[in-house]
Amino acid sequence: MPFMSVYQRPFTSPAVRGGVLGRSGLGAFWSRWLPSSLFAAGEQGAWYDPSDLSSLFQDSAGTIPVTTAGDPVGRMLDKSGRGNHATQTVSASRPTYQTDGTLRWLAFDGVDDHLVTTQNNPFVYTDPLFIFAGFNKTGAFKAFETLYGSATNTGATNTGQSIALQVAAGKLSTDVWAPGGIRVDTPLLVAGTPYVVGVTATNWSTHKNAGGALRTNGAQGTSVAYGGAQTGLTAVPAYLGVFHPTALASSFYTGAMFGVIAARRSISAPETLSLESYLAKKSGVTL
Amino acid sequence: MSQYTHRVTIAVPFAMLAQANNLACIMGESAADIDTFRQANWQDTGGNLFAVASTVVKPVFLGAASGVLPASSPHAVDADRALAQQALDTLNLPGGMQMVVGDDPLEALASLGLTQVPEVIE
Repeated sequence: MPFMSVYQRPFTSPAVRGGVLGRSGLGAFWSRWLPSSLFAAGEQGAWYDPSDLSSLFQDSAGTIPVTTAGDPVGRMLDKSGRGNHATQTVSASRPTYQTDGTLRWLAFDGVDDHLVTTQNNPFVYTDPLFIFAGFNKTGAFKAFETLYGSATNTGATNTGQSIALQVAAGKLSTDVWAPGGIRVDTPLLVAGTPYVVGVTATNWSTHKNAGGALRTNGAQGTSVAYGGAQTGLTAVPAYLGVFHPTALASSFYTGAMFGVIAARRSISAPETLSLESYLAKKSGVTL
Repeated sequence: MSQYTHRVTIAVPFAMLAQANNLACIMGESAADIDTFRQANWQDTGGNLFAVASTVVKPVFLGAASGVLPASSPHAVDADRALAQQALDTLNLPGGMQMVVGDDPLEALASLGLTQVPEVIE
């Protein structure tokens, strides 16, 4: 289609591949990119967008729409088209929708708020994947604070299988402690500051040793390996705001979540830039 | 303006989990609210364990939490009203269920003298 060729042309430019034009001179171009393109070939994954009120409902059944700041969110639709909607049946565990008039987000209370996907996590142990999120943490970072995760272990034992995007103790990391992962020890994330963060892996089973990368506000961090050995990935639901429904208390996220986009596929450098730019706009981050 | 105008943070002694969950179901909006208090992973200075929850509520909740159980909604017909009343009767009494109204749940828990149980990875 003609318009596609116009939109794709900047990606062929070395200057744009470097991100210079992409983030300054072509702002209008980037603003037209949508995450739906990441799922165009039927890839498994999820796209959660709290800025889209039509995707939010107060109840888990999706019968009462969210209309106003302060409303609880019991169901957030997955906009990827894969049906990985996130719900919460327990009233007290629902995050709330909030807005400052410009940005819109889900606020998690750090005590019990979390959403659960209606289907099992979309990942396969030996496949590539990516998970990106926009957030702004409130209060001090806790030991296992999690933006998005899926685990068989609660975190209390050094066994199990898991996948996660965590901001544990201010360190961006990929996994619940036990099965091991990668994390960025420095610089520490700062509470009260908006971030766009993400993990990419060419193969989740080996991401700890090769092919795994952590990104913060458009730049790849220097990561180190930690924990034990990955042994697999069980088909269990994914969670927003925690990695397991009965997880350690310190794993419940406190703060604003501007969006989460995850998929079982690799992501190219231009796609990464586009995704980060998209989430940055949603999160109030200047890349 | 949202109908959910207040935030409450509630701490329940471990021995009262069943009572508190039945109360949560009757006061809440979903049959799943019977699972509101799941883990006693907070403690006071004496080492007594508590389960906690925090949620936004409508003004009617605060009135109903003042002593008399409201009529059971259809979602809560299976809830045990006697157990729920037991929980409500202890509200904010020494040794009973504690509730703080305020915007910051972690601050509310701190005001109750509660801290997370130290997390030991085995």
